[in-house]
Amino acid sequence: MFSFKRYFKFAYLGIFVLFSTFLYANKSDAVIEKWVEFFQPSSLSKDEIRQELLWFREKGEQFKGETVYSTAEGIKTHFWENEILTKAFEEITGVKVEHEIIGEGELVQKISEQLMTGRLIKDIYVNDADSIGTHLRMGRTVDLGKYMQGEGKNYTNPKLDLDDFLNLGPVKDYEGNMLQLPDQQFANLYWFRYDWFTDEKTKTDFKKKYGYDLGVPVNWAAYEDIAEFFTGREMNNPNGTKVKAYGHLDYGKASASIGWRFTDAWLSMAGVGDKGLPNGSPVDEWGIRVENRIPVGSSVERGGALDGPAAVYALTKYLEWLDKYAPPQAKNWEWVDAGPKASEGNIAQRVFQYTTWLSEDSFHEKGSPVVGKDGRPVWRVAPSPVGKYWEEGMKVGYQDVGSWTIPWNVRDERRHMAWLWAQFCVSKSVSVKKFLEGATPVRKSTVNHSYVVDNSYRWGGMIEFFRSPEAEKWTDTGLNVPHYPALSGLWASIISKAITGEATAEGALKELAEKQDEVMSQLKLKHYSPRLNPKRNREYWLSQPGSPKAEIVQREKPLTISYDELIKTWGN
Amino acid sequence: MKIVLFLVLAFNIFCKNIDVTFTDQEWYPFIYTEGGVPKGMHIDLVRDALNNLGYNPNFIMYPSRRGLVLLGAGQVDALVSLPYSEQYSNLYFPNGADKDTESEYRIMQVDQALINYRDSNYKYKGDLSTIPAPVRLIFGMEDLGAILEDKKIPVEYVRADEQNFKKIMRDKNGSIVTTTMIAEKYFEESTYRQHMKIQAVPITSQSYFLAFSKSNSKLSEDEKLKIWEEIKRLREDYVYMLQVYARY
Repeated sequence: MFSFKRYFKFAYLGIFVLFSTFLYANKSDAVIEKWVEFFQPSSLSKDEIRQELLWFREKGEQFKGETVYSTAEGIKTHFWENEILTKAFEEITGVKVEHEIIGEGELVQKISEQLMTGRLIKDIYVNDADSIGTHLRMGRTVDLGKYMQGEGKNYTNPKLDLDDFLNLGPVKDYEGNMLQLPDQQFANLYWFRYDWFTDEKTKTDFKKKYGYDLGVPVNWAAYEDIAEFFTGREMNNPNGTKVKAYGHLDYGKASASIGWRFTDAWLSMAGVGDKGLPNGSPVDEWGIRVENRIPVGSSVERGGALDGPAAVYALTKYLEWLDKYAPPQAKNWEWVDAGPKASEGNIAQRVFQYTTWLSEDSFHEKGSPVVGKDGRPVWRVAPSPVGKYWEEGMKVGYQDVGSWTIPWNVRDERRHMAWLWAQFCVSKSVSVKKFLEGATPVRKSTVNHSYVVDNSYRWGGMIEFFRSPEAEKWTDTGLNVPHYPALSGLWASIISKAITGEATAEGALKELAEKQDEVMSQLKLKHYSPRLNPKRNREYWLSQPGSPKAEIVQREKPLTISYDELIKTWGN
Repeated sequence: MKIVLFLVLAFNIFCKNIDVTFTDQEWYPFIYTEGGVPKGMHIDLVRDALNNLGYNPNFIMYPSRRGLVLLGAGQVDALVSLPYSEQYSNLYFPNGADKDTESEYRIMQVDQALINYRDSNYKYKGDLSTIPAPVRLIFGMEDLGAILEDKKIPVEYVRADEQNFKKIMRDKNGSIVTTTMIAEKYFEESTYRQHMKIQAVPITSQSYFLAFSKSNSKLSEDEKLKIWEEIKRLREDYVYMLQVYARY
């Protein structure tokens, strides 16, 4: 029987549901619109950003209320992801993210524990692609290439556009499978005070003393002369401060970071390894000889180069410059301490500057000793100078590629949520904005974006570097290193002995090479596990072509180049 | 005289033999034997901690329950490794071992995974009472078994994980609880991989300890604490732990 009362009850309910839906949709759209505006400038149009964010919302729907646990090292890019992107992701998808920012050493330890003991610590890590040789040999990370084709197809952003990434080489194994996804990238470049290097009196004084022009050092001999020249010299900063300058900046505290001061390609800059990109073949910049993808030795006696004359030269120069030309406190600094130090205005040059630190405000803010009266930086970055063993065709420097990595024991919905979060952090919607915060681009569309190109002066040459084909000579640790976490730990502890004087450079490297070989011999890896060469006389290996290289006694002729000429070689 | 006394004391400390029992069940990569030699991450940590303090550890393999009985009776000095449980009131655990959080004195934290027959479409979200029965465990996991039985879930015990994997394939029902590492090892075989599913959320995460006997006075309270502290120091040593992980 028809009842008005009942009819109105249903009508009210219907209106309420419709109104609520309308309110929710509007609120939801307001969320999307808020983030569309926030993520300006972007390489996508506003409508394209809207579509991309709506895709994330649709895919996140089924995981609403869940939490993704991720972790990354303490650099500005990741702090920004933690502060902004977790919020955006939660508002858009309803999925919460706990993005823990920790030291790189602790991160390596955590991911190692998860991979080796099966403990579920995090769903996803931003793990440097330096570990690619470990991941491919252990087979305990999700093969993202296969995942995207298979179980993860439905969760893979149609706008991900892998071809837009600057370089996926570091995250692929020997067969080309993609095991990681780059999240942030930064290089190690030469940093210097352009204003000091172009000051007429300074130039004249330098030429008078050394007989050649002050400029960007092409080799270590020139770097050394420039370091000596500036150390103790009185210099002026644009903000009016007068300083006694140092010709060099580095760090030397016994810590995990002293390990990567060396594994991040210091030996390749000296010329320890062989020719061939990305890492040198058959001997790479860790001094490891690899034959048919099998590591066969680090010590010269096994065909490696870690205790060869070139490596001794590399460590000796590091020690000598730290002692003579860097601030005395540098011996007690870690990489986080040294990272922004050049912005204090008393450093003339730095051979090994991680460019991620150049996004710190102190390098850009008005009134800083390293910012001109026009508000533009008075510093520049340039290619790193190379040591006397270096030859054309070798890698020049290091590039860090922090990459999303999903451990094997992260399954099903946890894996899908983690993958959505990773893709969100590298989406075209957010990438330009993220670059402006942390200066660690991973996309071509970021470094080619008109806003970035028009404002490239802010990064002192970094944009030109990333846009240049030369950038491929800056590579991270490659496929050869069979167990990055275990081996890099050795470098930290043994190199420290040379810094404290407990061992000579030669003694420390001999110990390191022996220990590295010992650890490699104990590894039981699923694929391409190390198999050491039998020992032979050092002279045998040193007399063979390529690395390990015989001693070069003579100092190389110092060479410099004008920065303005050099920047043209970066071709854009 | 003082020197002589010191030497005698030092001799006593530095030559103390410690009998440490470990299970005969293969528990790779934590505890197992290779050619009769005890190996694994837990063994390495305990051996190195004891050696560093000047002890001479003697590892003796026993079936789990037998090892516990001998430890309770004081016929061995220690057991590697055991999560805390109220039922072990005759054993010494470090302070705080009874807490649910990670203990600072643990050898390691170990996750246990839940495995089901794939067709069941079951998804574990943290509620133990929903776990498909029977739950198949191995001996030594009686504390977890007791919790499940409290929730009226039938539990079955066997000596080795392999038996449980075979049973679940045969019966096409129920669950297995084992470490992620063991589960993954079995999943390398396509038969298991196709028919079974490892749940995304681990069922437990427990701190495992070096437990001492209360019935034997070979080690003082202070000496036990120093051993747990040495285990902690090693576990927090970045370089050392990465070497340990890399070996397995």
